[in-house]
Amino acid sequence: MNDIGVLRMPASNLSSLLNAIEFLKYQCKIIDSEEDLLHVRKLIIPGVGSYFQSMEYLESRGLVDAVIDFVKNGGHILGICLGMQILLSEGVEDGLKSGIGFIKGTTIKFAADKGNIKVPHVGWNSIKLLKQISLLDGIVDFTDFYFTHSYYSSPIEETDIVATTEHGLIFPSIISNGNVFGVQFHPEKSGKMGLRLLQNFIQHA
Amino acid sequence: MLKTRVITTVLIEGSQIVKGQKFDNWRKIDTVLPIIKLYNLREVDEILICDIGASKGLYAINYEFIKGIVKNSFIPVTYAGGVNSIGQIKDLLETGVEKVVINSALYEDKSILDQARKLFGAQAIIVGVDVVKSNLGYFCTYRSNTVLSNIAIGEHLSAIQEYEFGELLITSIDKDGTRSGFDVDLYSEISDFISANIPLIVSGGAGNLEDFSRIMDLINPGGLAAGSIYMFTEITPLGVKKYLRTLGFRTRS
Repeated sequence: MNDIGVLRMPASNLSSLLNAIEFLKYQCKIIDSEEDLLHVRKLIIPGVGSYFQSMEYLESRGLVDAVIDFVKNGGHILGICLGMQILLSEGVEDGLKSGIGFIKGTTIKFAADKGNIKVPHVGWNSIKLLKQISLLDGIVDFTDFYFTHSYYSSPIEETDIVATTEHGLIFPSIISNGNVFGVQFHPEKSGKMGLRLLQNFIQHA
Repeated sequence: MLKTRVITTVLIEGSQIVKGQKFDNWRKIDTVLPIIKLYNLREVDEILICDIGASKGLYAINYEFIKGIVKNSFIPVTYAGGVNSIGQIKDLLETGVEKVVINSALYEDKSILDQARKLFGAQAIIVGVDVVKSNLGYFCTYRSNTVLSNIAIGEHLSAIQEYEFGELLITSIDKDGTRSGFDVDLYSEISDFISANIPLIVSGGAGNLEDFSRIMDLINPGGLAAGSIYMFTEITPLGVKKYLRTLGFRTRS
């Protein structure tokens, strides 16, 4: 069974995510082109690095339209960290840039001077569930996940927000719309519950 | 709100894990991996790999070995030992390591911190400082305590904080491996020198549960690193976290 794809992103290290998928005993394909996408049903978009550069990379390879078609044709997406943020309409890191646009909204940088918080937000923090979805089967309210980021996603529609996390302010840590899911934390580095979330996505999200 | 992290330190070379063994890739993997898997089961929040041999310059950083550890860890792994170039940091991050500690290299050139931050982000870089006490106060030591500097800890902390980095890992060499408690005097003395914006990881000396609560009461660090206690006592990382939670501290459940 080789229907899970991991989208290659610039400056992004795939090894931890690939290790986690292998540990869960699934096979996956690294996606570099529109053609690669034809062979998968579930797509994970990882990501660290810059919003601007990542979108330029995807645009230059025709992958933005390809990913939109993929979802239109019933494919499921899980965006992780920056991979979540590019699911939104736009980002502001390194200049305003259009995202893939599955979820209406933008990204915002944590302000270190507000609420006396540390930026980037790095470490274990809990999620507050606003609704239960199959991605979160077996995952209870206030479970801790591992975060590392300076920007967060801000969807316009409240119904797109699945869970929130507090770091100086309350920000969306899980979002979803139809077949598209995004998590701000790193499930591949979040121990047992992170692996559970990945398994949920692969099995039945 | 962020949780205080319970971190297990795994010493490679000179540690009990590999003691008496000649350096050997595969034998080390076999020996260390069960421990790493155990830590994952015991809900540790982060694993700190310290390669003492690489730190002393006895051999190069062993990326394949680190890859084996990361492959079995579904939590953040931090690497320390012999890191002195941007190329090494890049290669380490490519193994899947989350954060890299720079320590001895900073006594020659601190500008590596600037380059590393620009290329990899501040969150990926931890500054390590090893400290020993003399009659004249606390001084920095490096290359796994093989070189004692005449740089006072306050002086070094002020100099490195001219740069931006993710976290500060301060190890009391006097306490390391003794299980006689964290170096309360050291951390009290230096807390004034550390910016409130930089998470501090304390390391060295944890021997019982009260040692953890004492240091939490004193300075509430971002991370509590310990090694021997988990090797030689019944106390587990999960036990430490539960204990701290009963006292009202925030740890990952």
